[in-house]
Amino acid sequence: MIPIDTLTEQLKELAKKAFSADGIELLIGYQKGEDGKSKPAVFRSSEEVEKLVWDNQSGFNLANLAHRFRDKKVGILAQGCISRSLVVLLNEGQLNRNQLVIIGFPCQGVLGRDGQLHSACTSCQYPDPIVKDYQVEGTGISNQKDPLLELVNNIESQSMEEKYAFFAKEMSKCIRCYACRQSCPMCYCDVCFVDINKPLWLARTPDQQNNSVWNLTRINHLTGRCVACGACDRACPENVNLMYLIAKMNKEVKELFGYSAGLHLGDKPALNTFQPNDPDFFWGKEGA
Amino acid sequence: MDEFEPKVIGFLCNWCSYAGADLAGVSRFQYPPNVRIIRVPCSGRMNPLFILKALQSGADAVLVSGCHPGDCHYQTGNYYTRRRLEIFSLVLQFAGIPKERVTLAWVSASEGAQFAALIKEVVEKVKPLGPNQSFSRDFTELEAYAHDSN
Repeated sequence: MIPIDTLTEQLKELAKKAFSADGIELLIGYQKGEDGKSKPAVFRSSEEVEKLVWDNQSGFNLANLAHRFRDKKVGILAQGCISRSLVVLLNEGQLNRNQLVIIGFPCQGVLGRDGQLHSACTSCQYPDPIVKDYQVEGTGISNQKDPLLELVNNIESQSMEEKYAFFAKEMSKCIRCYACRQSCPMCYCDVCFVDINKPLWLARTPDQQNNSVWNLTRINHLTGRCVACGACDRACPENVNLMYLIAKMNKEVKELFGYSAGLHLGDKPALNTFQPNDPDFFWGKEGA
Repeated sequence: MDEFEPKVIGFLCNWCSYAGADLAGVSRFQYPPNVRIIRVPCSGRMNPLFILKALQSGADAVLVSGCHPGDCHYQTGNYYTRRRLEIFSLVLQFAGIPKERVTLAWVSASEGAQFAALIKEVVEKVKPLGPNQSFSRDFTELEAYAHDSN
């Protein structure tokens, strides 16, 4: 893997090139915050790019910011998961490929809140960008194992009571700050269903009952669109295990529909299409 | 004490299953009175949030029923529903909500007898599970909390 300093220098170089050669108006990247951790930032000139950094604290998914500058020509740093998020957004017509200059680099993984390599990164299968205009050469993180999938398989083998106990314990931690929603590049609805008063889909009280509905619906809205970047999990202030539901959902989408989000430009999201011979689990047949 | 009678919310598509339920009534097929029917324009109208909302509001089971695949009045609505609800119900089961609580079934307008049999089966399967408490508040805990904060 490339040393972080070399990677940052190369990213700066490519960013400057994107400003001069491609005429981008701004670059979405990271810079050091006041607390010394890297934060998402927008750079408006090649001079400002000097402040650009990338390190293993850069866990925010930058595709989230790409929406806000839809009318501008934007440069963006992208490793595997961010580029996959961009592909999903491009496929959904949210972004314009001509307006994007993607600076790809191999990802070395980012840290979670506990200071360890994040579970999304230790399970990552796609560290290299899918779409890119520039690329920093090198190899990224490579995982032989998939710990999240193992966790999912482990929970699947438990009884209903144990599954529910685990789920209820995680959900009771949630304070419904919606940091998961804000950090997610796929949550771009103008009005989220939880912010609607009429009908009141979800009561405001952050109890386990309402939290369950919120998190299950979030998973449902992400079905076939989530790239498992783990930004929601890293943003969660209460350390709710959001990845385990996401990993289950992604596993089923892959098994049933043979689809993983964000791997090909021009794909339709899994729930936006169908096959007449899709697996049927209707009444009388055994479900999984 | 009387036997537990589950509340079942049935989301039936206007064109097939609702007519199937109507046919069951007209043909005087007996089925348990536990089901409360909500008519939806198409099974493709089913937002999984409706299911959660029903379960949260005290339903013990939810039934979603539409035209057979290929017979949708709007050609493709039920195909989308099938994909959507398949993943959704698997995630629900993963979270520890028994699969008997959410059923998807295809019932056409001519299948009155099948509709009656479907309701019977759903009710029979949900009865042994008892009341749905997956999304209900734990009042003892809340009371303890209220007591503590006083």
